[in-house]
Amino acid sequence: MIQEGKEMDKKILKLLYRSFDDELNETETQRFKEALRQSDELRREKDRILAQRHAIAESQKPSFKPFFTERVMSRIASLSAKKNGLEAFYETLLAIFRRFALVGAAILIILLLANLRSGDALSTDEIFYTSDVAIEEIADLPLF
Amino acid sequence: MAATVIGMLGHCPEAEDVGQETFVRFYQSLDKFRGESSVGTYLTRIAINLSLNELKRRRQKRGRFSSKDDEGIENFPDRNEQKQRKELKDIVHTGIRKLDPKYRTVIVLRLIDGYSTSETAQILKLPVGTVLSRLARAQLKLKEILKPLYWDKYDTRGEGNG
Repeated sequence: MIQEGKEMDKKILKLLYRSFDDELNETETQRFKEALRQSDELRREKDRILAQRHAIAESQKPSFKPFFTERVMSRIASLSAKKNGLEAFYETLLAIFRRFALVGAAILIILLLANLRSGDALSTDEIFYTSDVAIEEIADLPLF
Repeated sequence: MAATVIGMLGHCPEAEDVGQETFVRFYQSLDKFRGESSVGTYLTRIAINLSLNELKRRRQKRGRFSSKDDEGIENFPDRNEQKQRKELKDIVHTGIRKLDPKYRTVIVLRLIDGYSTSETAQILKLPVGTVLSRLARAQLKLKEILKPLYWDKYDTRGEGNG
């Protein structure tokens, strides 16, 4: 019986805390209201919790130091400048690479066309002249 | 934003750094912001995560598991009426900072920042039930911390302050 009473108190206390932050259903609301009506201690506890919550809300009136906004904007501005600098560098690199890539592609096309004109076939052997070159002769090539 | 960060970390230089970093991170992640939550919620989420990181860093630095960032308030303030209000605020503020980060977070968001329970759950990406449970536990823990001054005072007055 005492155990049942304690269980009931725990449930009512749980309802009490929930009542501040959650919506109780109809049955729970009725039960809670009845418990409040019957218990002075429960009403006092409810008022204590309300007072504590109010004290917590009132305890904080914080603000950052003056010119906080300016400091944030200054950081963002310096980040943007850094980002723009990096972006500019990569764009320059890309532009240079593009030129090299275009020139390289043009040379390849010219070589292919010359090869096609001088020979009848367009095989990789013909393109890279490997049909007439032995492996031993590769080492003698000026490339190395 | 200040309420959130200072509520979590207290008035300290790190709070200012975290506040600045929150806005910088928000700016850097603008292209990833899809508008699934409000801007305020998104900002608060960043602020909470950065604050929790700072608390973790402090704990690691101290080599302790508890989140006791302040010295205990064993000596209760002078009951001079003129100082009482300020002292009560300081005590409540210190009490909040003695809470474990997971309880402190829900108290700051729900009771100080004024977010609803569902908004708090959304910011923390937790179920509403978990937020409710943590709120209840946090308030019980705070009651124990504040009891020697606040509840005794309340009982002496015999009326609600609500």
